[in-house]
Amino acid sequence: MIKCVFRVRFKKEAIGLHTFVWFPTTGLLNSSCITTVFHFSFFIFTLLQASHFPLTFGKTRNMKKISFLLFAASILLFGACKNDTKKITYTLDNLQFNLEGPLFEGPNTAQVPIQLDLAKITGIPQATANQIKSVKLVSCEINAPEGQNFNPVSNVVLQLAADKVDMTEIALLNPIPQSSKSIAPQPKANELSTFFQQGNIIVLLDATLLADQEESLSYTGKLSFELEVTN
Amino acid sequence: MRRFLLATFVFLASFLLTAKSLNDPADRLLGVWEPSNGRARVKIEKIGTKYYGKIVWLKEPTDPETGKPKLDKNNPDESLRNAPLKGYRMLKDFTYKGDDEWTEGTIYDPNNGSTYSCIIKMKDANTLEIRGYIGIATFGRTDVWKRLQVPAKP
Repeated sequence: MIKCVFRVRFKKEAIGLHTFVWFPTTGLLNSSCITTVFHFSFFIFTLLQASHFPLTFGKTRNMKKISFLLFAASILLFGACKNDTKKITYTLDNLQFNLEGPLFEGPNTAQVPIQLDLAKITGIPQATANQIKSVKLVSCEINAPEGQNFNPVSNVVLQLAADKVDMTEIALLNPIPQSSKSIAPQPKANELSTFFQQGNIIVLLDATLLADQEESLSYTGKLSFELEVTN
Repeated sequence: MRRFLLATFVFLASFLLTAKSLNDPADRLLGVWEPSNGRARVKIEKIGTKYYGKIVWLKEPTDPETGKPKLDKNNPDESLRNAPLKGYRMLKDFTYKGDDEWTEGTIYDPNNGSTYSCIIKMKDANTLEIRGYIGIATFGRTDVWKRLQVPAKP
């Protein structure tokens, strides 16, 4: 019986120790939102336990005061955490994909080099690459010029390339419906933050032609990305 | 006189820049290459600062089972399994290390849909040693590719 009570009390004390030492130190030092929320939840749990077992926790008035202060601090921390990251939609518009003729049956590649201005994209002056936490392609659209369509092309693959990152497929449409004037390749769920952290990227369009042709082809593209950026 | 000097400077600068790009040792990789089995030809091109190679010719372009162009049916990405094999970018992300060696790239084997780490070594202007491996380069397989000589126009 004594052993059992001791064990229960020991667990409560351990939780209390966590609350008073681990939570304020690591919780405050670590800026990760998830960690902070985890600490916060643990803290609330401990407080609830304290209210149910007043003998094992919060014995004195001082302890209760400290608990209240920590609770208030965690609320503040939680509030600050809300503004930790923000979501931005960034659109690369009017991308000119020029496939210079003569073109051959099979995939032909058009390259569009892009220089990314992080300050402009994020709206944060002197934004750094580390502030970009996540980038996903959310939509993609390619249009044929007036009076033309995608009939010479059977499928398209869009890829991103950069100096220090491996080439990555970001969207594809296979097959292209007949007589399409505008197509919307399906974005892939790839994480693209490493590309945006580079500053310079190349958007590639691999258009698979059904037959050889002398004439050049030209399409315009629009890519929308969703970025998660820390302030 | 000033105009003459300016024109001379522009001419010399453009000549030197052109000569530099033509003599860039890394760009010697560019061209069309044929693996030892002779069943395909791969065109190596430069995108940004890296080198990529795609299949531009197949000895047997049609699938005997379907009678249609061969598809990349072993691709681990299901959405690409009905894409034609011809044109597939099988060499990716090679950077020139120096000493006639291009590293940090990958090679895709369409026969089994596997991608391997790869090193390209140029033995001479028309011969490449392509070594595909998993993990460390010691355990791998090397194939010799020959440059496809484009016949001069009459």
